[in-house]
Amino acid sequence: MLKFFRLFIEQFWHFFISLKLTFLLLIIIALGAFLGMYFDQTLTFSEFLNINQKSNVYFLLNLFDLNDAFHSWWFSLTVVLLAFNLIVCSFERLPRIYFDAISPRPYLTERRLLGLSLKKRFLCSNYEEALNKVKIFFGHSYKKLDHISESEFFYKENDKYARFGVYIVHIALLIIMFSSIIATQLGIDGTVLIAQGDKKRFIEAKGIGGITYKHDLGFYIGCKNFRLLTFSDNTPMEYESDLFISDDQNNIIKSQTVRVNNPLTYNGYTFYQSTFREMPESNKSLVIIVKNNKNKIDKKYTIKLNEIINLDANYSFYISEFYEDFAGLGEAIKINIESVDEKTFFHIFRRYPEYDYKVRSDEYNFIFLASNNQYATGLSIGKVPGISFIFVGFFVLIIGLYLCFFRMPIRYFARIVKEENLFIVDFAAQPFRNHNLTKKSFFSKVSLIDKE
Amino acid sequence: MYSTMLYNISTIGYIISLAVSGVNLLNNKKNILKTSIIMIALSFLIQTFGMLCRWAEAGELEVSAAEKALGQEITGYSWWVIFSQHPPWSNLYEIMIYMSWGIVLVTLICEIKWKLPLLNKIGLLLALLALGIASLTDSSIKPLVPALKSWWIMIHVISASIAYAFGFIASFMCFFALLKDEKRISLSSLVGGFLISMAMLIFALTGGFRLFLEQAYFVKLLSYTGNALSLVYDLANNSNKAYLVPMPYVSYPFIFAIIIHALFAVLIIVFKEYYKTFFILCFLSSLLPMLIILFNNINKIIINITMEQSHHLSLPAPYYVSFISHPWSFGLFIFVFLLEILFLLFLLKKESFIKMLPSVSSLEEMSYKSISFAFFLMTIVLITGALWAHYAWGRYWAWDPKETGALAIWLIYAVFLHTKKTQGLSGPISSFIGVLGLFVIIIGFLGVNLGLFADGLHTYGNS
Repeated sequence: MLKFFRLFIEQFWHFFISLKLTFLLLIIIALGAFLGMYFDQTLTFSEFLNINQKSNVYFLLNLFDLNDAFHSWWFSLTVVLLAFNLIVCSFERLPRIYFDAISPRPYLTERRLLGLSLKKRFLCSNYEEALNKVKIFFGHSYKKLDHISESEFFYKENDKYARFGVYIVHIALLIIMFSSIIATQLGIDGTVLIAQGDKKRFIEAKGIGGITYKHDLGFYIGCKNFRLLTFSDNTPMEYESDLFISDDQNNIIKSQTVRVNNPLTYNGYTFYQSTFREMPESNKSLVIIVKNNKNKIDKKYTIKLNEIINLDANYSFYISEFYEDFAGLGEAIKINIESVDEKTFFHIFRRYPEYDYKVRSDEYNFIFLASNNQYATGLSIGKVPGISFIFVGFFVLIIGLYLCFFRMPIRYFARIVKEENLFIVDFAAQPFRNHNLTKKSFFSKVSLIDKE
Repeated sequence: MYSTMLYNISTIGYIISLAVSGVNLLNNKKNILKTSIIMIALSFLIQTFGMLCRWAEAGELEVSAAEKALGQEITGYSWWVIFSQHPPWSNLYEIMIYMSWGIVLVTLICEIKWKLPLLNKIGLLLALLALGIASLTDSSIKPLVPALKSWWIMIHVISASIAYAFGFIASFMCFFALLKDEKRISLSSLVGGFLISMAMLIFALTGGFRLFLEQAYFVKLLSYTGNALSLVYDLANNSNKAYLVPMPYVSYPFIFAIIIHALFAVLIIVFKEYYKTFFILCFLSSLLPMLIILFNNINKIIINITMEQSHHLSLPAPYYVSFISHPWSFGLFIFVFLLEILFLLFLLKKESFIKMLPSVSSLEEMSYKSISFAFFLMTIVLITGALWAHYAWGRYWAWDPKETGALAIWLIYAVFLHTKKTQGLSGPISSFIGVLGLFVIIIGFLGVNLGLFADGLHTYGNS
C-alpha cells in the first residue's frame, strides 16, 4: 500500500514538473478566456442573478462564477497551479544550466567532438598556418587555454547570459501574476456620479464575484464644474471636470481638472474621467433677463424650475415648465406670475427675445437667454496597490523576451593537435537555440578560412 | 479625397499582381514571379502613401472641427498636436485597410527572407479580403472620440496589426508543414481535421446554438415586417437608419452544411480512401448557402428600420449574413469559402503542390520564427494596452473581451513555443497549434466586431 502510494506521489510529481502540465494549464486558461469573453463580465452579481435565475443551467453558471469568470475559483486555481508549475520547472532545470554557464568545460575533447554536429577539420603542414586559421575563425577575441600534452585549445562564448532569457521571462510573469493577485484582492474598482457643485464620500465599488458595495474613501471628492465641448453634430469633443478633494472640515486639500486620459491621484486612489450624464430637467438652470419698465434696469437671473423669485413686495414669478421644442418654435419656458391684481402665465421663446416685449405690456418683461444643462460627472475610481510591481514585471518581461528571441547564445571551440608531421585543426560550435541560424554563422566562418 | 483614390489604385495593383503570380504558378518562370513581387511592392508603396494622405486629411478635419467647436483659430504647436493625433487606424474601415497593409508587409518580408512559394498568393488573398470588407464599411472620416486621443494608440495598434499579420502568415506555414509531412500525418486525418474546423467556423459565424434554437424567431420577424413593411419604411425617414437584409431560405442550408461537414469528418475515420469525394460533397454543401446569399443580395429586399426598432428586431445570426448590413459576417464566410477552395485546389493537384513546398523542417523553422516574432509583438501589444488602460481608465487590466482575446492569442502562441521545446509535442502537434492560432486570432480580433461577445471598452472599432 505504502509502495503504491509512494509510486503515485512520484508519478504525480513527475507530471507536476513536466512541460505537459504547462501545456494543459495554458490551454485551460485560454479556454477560460473564451468563456469569459462569451459571458458578459460587466454585470454585477445581482444583475446576473436577475437575468439567469430562471435559466435551466443557472446552477452551472453560478458554480463556475461565470459573471466574474476571471476571479472564479477554477480560474484562480489554474493560475496558481501554473505559477507553481513554473517555479518547480525552473528549479528542476535551472541548476544544470546555471553551473554549465558559470563554469563551462571549454576543452574540445574527442568525446565532445563526437557529440557536436557543427564541426570542421583542417589539415596544416606547419604550426603557423594552423594558428592563423584559428585566428581567422575567432576574429579578435578568444581565449587560449592551457596545453594538454601536445594539443592546444581555444574557446569563445557569445551571449552567455541570453541562456537565462527564459528564466527572466518566467520571473517577470511570476511578478506580474503575484502582484496582480494582490492588486485584485486589495484594490478598489468603483464608480461615482457627482453632480456639479456636489461632493461625495461613498462610492459604488464592485468586488470579486461582481458583488457591489459602498466604499468609504475617508475624504470627500467633489466636482466644482463640468464642461462639455461638442462638435457641431453634438458628439462630444472633449469633456473635463474641475475636481477637488476636501476633508470633513471642508478644507480643500487638492483641486485639479481631469480629462479623459488625464486623471487625478490622491492617497493611492486615482480618479478618471469616464462618462458624464445630463441631470434631469428639474436641475436645469435657466438664464433669463427681467426688464423693469419703470426704472429701465435690466437684471439677469439664473434660476431653476419652480424657484420663486420676488421682484418686489407684491410681484413674484416662477418658471413652471421648460420645452425643448414648443410647436416647432424652439426652446421655450412657461412663466407664471403672481401680483396683487392678477395671477397668470405665458410662454416666452429663446429664439425670439423681443416677443414678450411686443405682446405683453406689463411692469416687467422677460427675455429667455439660455438654458444650461446641469451635468453630473462620471468618475471611475481605481486603487491598484502594487501597480509599480506590475510595471516592473512588464519591463523585465520585455528584457527577457529580447534575450530569448534576439540573442543567440553559442560556444565556439577549436584545437590544434600535432600528429607526426601534420597539424590537425578542429573547429566546432555548440549552439543553444536557433540551430539553422547558428549553422549559417558557423559555416560562414569556416568559409572565411577556405578563402585564405 | 486622394487617399481613397490611392487605395483603389493599390487594390487594383494587388489584383493584377495576384493574377501575374497565378500565371507563374502555371509555367513556373522566375521572371514572372519577380515581376509580380515588384508589382506587389509598388502597390504597397502606393497604399502607404495613401495612408499618409488619409492621416493628413483626418488631421485637417480634426483641426477644422476643433476650430469650429472652440470658435478660434488654432496655430503653432497645438495645431500640430491636433493635426497629427488622428492616425489612419481609428475606425473599422481604417483598421481593415491597415490590416491589409500589415499582411502585405509581412508577405513581402517573408518573400524576401524565405522565398516560400504560394505564400505571396495567400498573403495577397488575405489582403484583398480585408480590403473587400473595408470597401463595404463606412469610409468617411469622423472626429476622434476623446478616449482615443492618446499617443499610446500609435505603438499599440502598429504592433497589434503586424503581430496579427505574422500570426496569419505563420499559421499558413504551419498548415503547409502539415501538408508536406506525409510520413507523420495521413492526408485523410488532415482532411478530417479541416472539415471539423470548417464546421466549427460556420457554426460560430452563423450564431452558434441560436441557429438551431431560434428558428421560430425569423418566422415571427417576417410576419412582423411583412405586414408592416410600409410602416417601417415611413418610420425610417429620419437620420437614424439601420439596414437589415433578411435572408430567407438560408438557415436550413447552413444547418445542412454544418451537419455534412461534421458527418464526413467522422466518416473519414472509417472510409479513409474516399476523402476526395467527401471533401467535394462538403464543398458543395457550403456552396449552396453562398449562392443563396449572393442571390438574396442581388434581389435584395432592404428593410429600413430605426435604431430603436433594430433592437427589437435583432435577428439571429444566419439571417444577416449579407454584404450590405453585416459585412463582417459575410467577410468571414467568404474567408471560410476561400479556405475550402484553396484546400480543394490542393486536393485536386496534390503532387505538384507538395513538390513546390520546401522541406518540413524548414517550414517548421519559418513558422517558429514568425510566431516567436508575433509573440514578442503581442507582448508589446498587451503591455502597451495595459499601460494605456492604466493611464486612461484606471484599470491596467479589465478583462474586456478584446483584451481577453489578445491574451488568448498570446497564450496560444505561448503554448506553441512550449510544444516546440517538449519531446513528443513538437512536430505535427505544434504545427496544429500554430494553425489553431489562425482561428484564435479571428475570434480574438474579430469576435467583438462580429457580435459573438458582449461589448466592451474597445467598441470604437465597430463604427
